[in-house]
Amino acid sequence: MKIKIATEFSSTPGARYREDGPNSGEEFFERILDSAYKRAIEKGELLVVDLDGTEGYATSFLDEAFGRLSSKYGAESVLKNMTIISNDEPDWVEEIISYIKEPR
Amino acid sequence: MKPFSDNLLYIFIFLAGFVFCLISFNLVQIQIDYQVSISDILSLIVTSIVGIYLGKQIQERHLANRFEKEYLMGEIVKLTQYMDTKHCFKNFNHVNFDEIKAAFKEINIMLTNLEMTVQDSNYSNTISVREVRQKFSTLRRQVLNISPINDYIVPQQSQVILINKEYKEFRRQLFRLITAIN
Repeated sequence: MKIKIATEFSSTPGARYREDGPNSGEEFFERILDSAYKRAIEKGELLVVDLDGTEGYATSFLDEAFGRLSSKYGAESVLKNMTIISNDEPDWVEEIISYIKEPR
Repeated sequence: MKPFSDNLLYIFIFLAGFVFCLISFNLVQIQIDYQVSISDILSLIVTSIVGIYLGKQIQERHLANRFEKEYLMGEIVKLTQYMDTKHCFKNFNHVNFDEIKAAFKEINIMLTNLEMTVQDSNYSNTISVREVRQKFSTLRRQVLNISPINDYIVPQQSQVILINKEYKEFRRQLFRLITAIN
């Protein structure tokens, strides 16, 4: 199962919270990521999150979305059931893994 | 072939030439009746061809090294010039969120290309982009972790000091790379 943020959410992801402006990490988690993760687990599939094609990310967006996913389901489960694609900016993969391992 | 072995080769060619001249000069001086055979001429021609070929190879290698060095330095300069043109890097007191986010993405792509170029170059063992990358990640995190207000990031004064420090460190690391290449 795959989510492409640029097409399924926004090509201009915002900051952390809804009050920070449109397309926030909070909104992405609640509207897309959480439900996609649940469906992937139910189907026994790997969730692939594709970060490419946007105009860039704020660290706060990624921290909020993936950090919350980790807080909700546990770092071990998220790292086992989800994979990140980021060919435009490969260092995001490592950064997101650190948010998952140490959620806020 | 490394520059050190190139130097050894230069010395060897010089010494060979020197010995050859010395012998020729002595033969003329003492007027030995020296018969030049076909095999002597052939060996002279072969030696000359080999010498010219080696010289050409060394010259080409030096040119390639110089091109590589200039290319890498040009890429780093291009990166710093890109930052100079961006308004968001001039004043961290009031930064447009979308502008700096896009600028960080662009710099990140440039850094990735630079890393790959360094890896494929002769400098792969002597220089590393890792520290530049670390400084970049820290700077990006410090800026983009701040929640924007009406599309602008307005850090507190203490945060501005830290961001400025990190930005200077990032640029310093870039210039250190140029020094290392040079």
